[in-house]
Amino acid sequence: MAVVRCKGTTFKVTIATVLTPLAQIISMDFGPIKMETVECDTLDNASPGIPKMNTGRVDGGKVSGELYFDPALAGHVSYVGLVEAPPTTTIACAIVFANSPASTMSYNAVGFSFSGTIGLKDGLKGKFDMEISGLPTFSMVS
Amino acid sequence: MKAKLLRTEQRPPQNKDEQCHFNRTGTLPTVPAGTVIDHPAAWQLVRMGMAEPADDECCDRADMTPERMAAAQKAQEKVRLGIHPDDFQAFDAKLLKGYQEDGTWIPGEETDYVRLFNEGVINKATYKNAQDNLPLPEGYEYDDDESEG
Repeated sequence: MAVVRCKGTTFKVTIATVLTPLAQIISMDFGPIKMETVECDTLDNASPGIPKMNTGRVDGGKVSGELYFDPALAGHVSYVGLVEAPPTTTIACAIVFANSPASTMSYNAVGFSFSGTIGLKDGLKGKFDMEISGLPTFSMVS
Repeated sequence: MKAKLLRTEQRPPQNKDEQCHFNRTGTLPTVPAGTVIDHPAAWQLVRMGMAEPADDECCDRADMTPERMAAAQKAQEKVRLGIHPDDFQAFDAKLLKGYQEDGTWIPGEETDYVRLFNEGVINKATYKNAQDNLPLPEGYEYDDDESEG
């Protein structure tokens, strides 16, 4: 049991069959990994509460993050290139956490997006976003 | 198009056995250093400082001078170690070479951050980060208002 620091975490996208780290990331979010539910109320239900049930399907959620965007950096250009030329297959990605030995969240991604923020009082920033296809796999090494 | 990897790199699991191994051990499969990647996007690995061109097509597509290639490889080292952008300057100045378990710096070869600040090599933000993470270099004393106790 440990509180794992975030500094040192790396995010990797598959480029040319190799997991390549994306540089200058400031923060990341993932999830929610969420069970799909359906309302199963009936006319003869006297309770005001809405009963629900799980459908048995789970949405893997999204992975997103913010980085200092360098338009001349090959890794950032490659990521934007990925968005502009959608691949026909899912892209394998991994978040390698900063614990030791490092744990990894591995997943296949689709629906990549990228946006930028230009502000007077800050460095040039970009936001990336992708949907998880299926479910992520966590390596639980301890 | 071919490029030769400069270091051992991770790759995604490609079959059930590899996926099971990853699930059990937490270790992603690797591609050894020196492996020649034959892929239409191999030039991007060169641009990112992870590989060097292994054929003329890759060399032409990557279109990098040896100086730019060296710079990309140096930048890649920062990414590989997960160095936070706030600490890039400290890493370049060799004040830090990674992070400890608790997130504090693993000190680099250079320790005299005061001299580096006075020489303009590092800025004030990096100086403050160095103060928080490194002992005061020899030959300097804490100011009264900064000293403990």
